Amino acid sequence: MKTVKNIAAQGEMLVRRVAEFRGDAVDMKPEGGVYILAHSETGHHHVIDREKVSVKEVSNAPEGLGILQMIVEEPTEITHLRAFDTHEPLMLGKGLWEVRLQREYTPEGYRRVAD
Amino acid sequence: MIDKLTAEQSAKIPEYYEKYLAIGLNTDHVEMSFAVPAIKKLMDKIEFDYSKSTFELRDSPVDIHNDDNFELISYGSNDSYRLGYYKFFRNEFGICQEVDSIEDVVNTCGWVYYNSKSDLFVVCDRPSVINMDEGLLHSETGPSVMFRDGFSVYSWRGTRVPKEWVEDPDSIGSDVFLTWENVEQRRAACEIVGWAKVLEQINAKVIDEDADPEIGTLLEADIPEIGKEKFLKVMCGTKREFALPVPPEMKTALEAQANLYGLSPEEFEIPEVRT
Repeated sequence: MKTVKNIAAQGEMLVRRVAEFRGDAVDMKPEGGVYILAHSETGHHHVIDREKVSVKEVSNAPEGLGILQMIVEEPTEITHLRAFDTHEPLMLGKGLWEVRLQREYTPEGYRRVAD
Repeated sequence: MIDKLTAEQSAKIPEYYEKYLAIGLNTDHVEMSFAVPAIKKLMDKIEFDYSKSTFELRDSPVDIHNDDNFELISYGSNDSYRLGYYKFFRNEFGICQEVDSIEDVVNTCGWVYYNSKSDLFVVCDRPSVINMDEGLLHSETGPSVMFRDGFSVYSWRGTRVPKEWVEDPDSIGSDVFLTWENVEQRRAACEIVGWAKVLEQINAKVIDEDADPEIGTLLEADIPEIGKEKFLKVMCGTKREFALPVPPEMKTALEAQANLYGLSPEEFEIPEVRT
């Protein structure tokens, strides 16, 4: 487990502290006891416990880009649900955090990186 | 709450690992004379009446798994790792529910399905082939898992890939290295062919190489079917390398890295940590 001061990456996800949130955002629905921050076709999601965190998804993010806004009330880990080549957990402190999900370019436009 | 394991408890983990891994890797043909009593014992536990049920063995789960009439009702040999996890905490800490009745099924069966309409239990045979490397499903020459009816799964270091990538790597077209939609499979394709050959095949030219391999190298490829494309060859926190296409106007690896997250190079800060 790594503790993050300001900015870190876990797989295709960039997590950074922000002073304020920008853009319209809608509440993200938790699934079970967690929020799925980065969804994986093969179930290898990146998740955070819902208890001490609230998550919104920016509704007008640029094409292909996923942007999430997280309010962390108490230190909480982002974990990666994969038994192999696992991205180590990131411990986030209290505060406002922005999550950006990697995109890639195609001649037709940007798309989310899928795994 | 368990804060730490004693030395004795830690020492037992390899025993559980070896025992349940061996069950999971067993490729022996299922013997119904052992399988059926094990299933009946499990059904007794939940007071299920199987007096009129029939029991059948199938070579693979391929036909049953997507048939809505069948429900997966028990762990099989393929799930032995889960049983090992429960057994460890049950035996060493006295927590977790009792799972002994499932253990017999795991020891004697592949997956077990039940069809309530026809009161039919179907036992899936164990795979006839399981190939692994360093704990991951992997084979460079054939299926990583094969059942007795020929149903097979191909894997490259734990990532499922199309059959032809393993059986005929020369068939992997140059476009796959940059455009295959699933990035893990795309990475596997590059590893199967080998990065040196991939870069040669797509006529890659280095535009900018950052000193930090996690920022990456900006390359320009010229693929006959596609034309010129820029991409970032980048290492992730698990030390695996990926190829991610970026827009043609990118001039440096850092600019391309920032663009992956919709940021300008000025907005982008180097992550303190990457995992």
